[in-house]
Formats: sequence, C-alpha cells, structure tokens
Amino acid sequence: MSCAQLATKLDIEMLHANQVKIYSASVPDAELPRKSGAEVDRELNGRMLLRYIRKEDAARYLRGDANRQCLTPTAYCPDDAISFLNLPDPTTIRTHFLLFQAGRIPEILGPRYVAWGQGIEYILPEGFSSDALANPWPISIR
Amino acid sequence: MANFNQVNHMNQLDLLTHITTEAAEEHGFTLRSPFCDRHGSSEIVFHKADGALDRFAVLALSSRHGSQEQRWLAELYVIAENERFAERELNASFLIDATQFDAWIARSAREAFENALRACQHMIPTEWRRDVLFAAPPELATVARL
Repeated sequence: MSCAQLATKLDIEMLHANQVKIYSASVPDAELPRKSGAEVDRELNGRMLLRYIRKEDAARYLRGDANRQCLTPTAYCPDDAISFLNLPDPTTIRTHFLLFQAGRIPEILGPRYVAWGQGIEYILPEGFSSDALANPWPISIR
Repeated sequence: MANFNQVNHMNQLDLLTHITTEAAEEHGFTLRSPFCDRHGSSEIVFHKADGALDRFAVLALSSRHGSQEQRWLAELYVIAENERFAERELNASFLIDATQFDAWIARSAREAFENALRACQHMIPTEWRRDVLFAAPPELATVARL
C-alpha cells in the first residue's frame, strides 16, 4: 500500500467513523447533500481541505473565487494528486497547495468518490472567500 | 494553467455547457457536474448508468501560457467502471490558440464531444480498480480495516 492509498483510506475511515456517507462518483452534484461549512468542519474533525495548484496560479485564488470548486481532504504528493484525483492535464504538475478552513465556507456539497480515481472530493458550489484560506500563500509540496 | 472560469470566459463556458448537454442527452447521458474548477482545470462531467457499468464523459479545459500567446487545452476523457473494473481513456485533446477558441467551439466542439460519447458507450473496462486491487483481504479486514 502506498502512502497515498493509506492517506485516502484513513480519510475514508475518519468520515465513516463520523457516520458520514461518501457518495458514489455517479451521483450528480444536484443530488449531493448541501451542508454548511461548520457541519463539514465537524465531520472532518476540524481538519482542513486542500486545493492543489501551480505556484504561478496562486495569486488568482488568494482573493477568493466565486466559481464552483472541488477540494479534497487528502494530502497527496504531486504525482499522486493527479492519479488519485483523476486530474485532467496530467503533464502539468500541481507543485503547491492551499489550505481551506471548511467552517468559513458557507456551503459545501459531498463528499463523493472521484470517478476512476481513488480519492474523495467536496464541491463548493459558490466558491470561497479569501478568509476561508488558512494559508494565504501557496505552500510547496513534494 | 489558469482557472478557465476566472478569465471572463463565461459565455464560452455557457455555450460549451449547452453544446455538450444537448449532445449528451441525445446519447442517453445526463449532467453529473456542471463546469467546476478541479485543481486548476475546469471540467464538465456527464454520466450514463448502463447496467452495472457507470459511464462518464468529461470535457476538461486548462490554459497554457506561452511567451507570446495564450492557448487552451481541451481534453475529452471517457471512463467506464463497475465495482471491480475501471478504465479511463483520453479520447481526444486539442491545443487551441485563445483567438481561435470561439471558432473551435462553434465548429468542432460538438463533433469532438459526440465522438467521445460514442467511444464511451463501447468501453468495456478490463483493468482492476485500484481501490479493489489494494484492498485488504477479507480475513484481515476485521483486524486492521486498512
């Protein structure tokens, strides 16, 4: 078992222990439960959500973004992020990440398994404001 | 790899949503997720339940910044999976100058997406799902549920 598999499994176990249902990849966004950020914060035991980025793209996210977003609770190295989250444009390495405090995000959908990947994701239908960022700068990940 | 949504291309996303949704519905797919920024790329995902198989068709858009011009990478992925097997293929990809993107949407996007939908409907997954492949044997599951 790789570190990425273990990290994913531990997150799944954490959610199950908190009686959180992880929905199938086939479930449409419209049928996922809508939760408050505070509710998701509790189901994650206060853990933060992650978004993987290229460093040069960070600036555009640091002021918040009202567009629909996907985040994950699971820490991956760049190669595993592409594989476990089934990311498009796989030759572009996401070298950095941003951390989000779920409790500061008004509305969150999910969690749901990633199709073909192994990871899990939450959806922010209305995006996020800058105060949801726990680290308002990109952090390198290796 | 800018966020497609954040560079004021909402009209193009709206148009692509309309084109892909119309084509998907003609092939029995339904919208699973509208355009969403997934770690730097914008994706729209369609799903079709086919017996025990889940089929997904995905259009993903990512930006590429060169020294002179901006270009868009449009990728079409098709996925088929059931409880044991899963497979994903890159059906097509297009690297398009930003100045030509409207023309690509108008002339090529629908045909490209329909090709992906057709390919998706014929996919038979043969690769073991990784979460199944690496799962603990049942006899160990109650000892360490990892």
